[in-house]
Amino acid sequence: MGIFGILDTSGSGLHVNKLWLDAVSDNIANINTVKKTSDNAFQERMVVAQESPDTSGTGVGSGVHVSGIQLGSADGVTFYDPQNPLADKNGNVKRPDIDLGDQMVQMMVAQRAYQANLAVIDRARDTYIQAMGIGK
Amino acid sequence: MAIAPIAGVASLGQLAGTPSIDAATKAKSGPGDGFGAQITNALDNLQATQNTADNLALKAATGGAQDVSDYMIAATQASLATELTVAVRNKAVESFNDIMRMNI
Amino acid sequence: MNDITFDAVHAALRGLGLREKVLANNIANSETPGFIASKVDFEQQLRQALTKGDPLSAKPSTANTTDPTNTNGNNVQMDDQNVSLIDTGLKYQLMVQAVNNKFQLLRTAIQER
Repeated sequence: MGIFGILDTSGSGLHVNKLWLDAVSDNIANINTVKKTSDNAFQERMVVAQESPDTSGTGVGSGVHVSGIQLGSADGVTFYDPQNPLADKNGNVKRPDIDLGDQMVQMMVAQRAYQANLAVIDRARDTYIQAMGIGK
Repeated sequence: MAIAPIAGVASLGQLAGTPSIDAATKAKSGPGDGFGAQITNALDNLQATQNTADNLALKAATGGAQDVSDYMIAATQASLATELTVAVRNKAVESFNDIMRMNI
Repeated sequence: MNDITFDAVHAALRGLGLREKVLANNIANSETPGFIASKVDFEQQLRQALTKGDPLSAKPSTANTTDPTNTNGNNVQMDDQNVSLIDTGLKYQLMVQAVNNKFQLLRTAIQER
């Protein structure tokens, strides 16, 4: 942790939560992407967050980082839609296995977490400014 | 004119060892031993406090510092120690001048 | 304060000033297609210059960032840039404090009364 280490830690939180929002927006944008039953359905993007290790020996970690993006099930949900040009001989198409309600909840949680990190940055900056007033 | 002030700071550390300061502090350390000892200690430690503040400022400049309050506290201590030394010097010079002006 | 420390703080102020300019440029170009954000590193150079005993010889280096680009070809990460801006501002303030403390010591020594 550097001299103003809280900013880096919260910055990493902002980064991860923004990536989460990006993933959720990608999922929601593709929620109606229909594929042939012979292809893989659109897979849900899930951000895997991992704690960043403690580099300063104080026992406190240095934030969070994204260790990877996991993809959801490729099987999707089989949907009967014979009018669709991609339908197979049974009239089925594949839709992504993504629940819109679940994605909306994730979006709200990610947004709140982002705002919480912003609040921490604000407070930390005030604290540091006060520390630099020592001896005035 | 620009050189004189820097020379002044450099010799502050030596001032603590000059006879006039020593005499003044020894005179104070007679009856009120605790206070006199404190003053002497502060004068001796002036260079040390300034060095500590310098080193912490260096660490902050190169990005190796851990806590901003470390440097701020050290800098305040160095500044107070310097003001104390200067005050003692001024008082000693004043006393010396008063003594010299006495009609024997 | 001895001269080496003062020079190092001076060099840090220069490096931080350059970093602030680069960050402002990155943020201004956050929507420019094909723009690659830059970053400034002077701490490394300053440490090396200190071992040689001449901190003012440290030259800050500007390099392109390696963040991934979006569909526009632009790779500016707004939250990283803003956090860096706050961090640089605070460090600049701290270095200014250090310089002011040094001048205050000299002024105290100059005073007659």
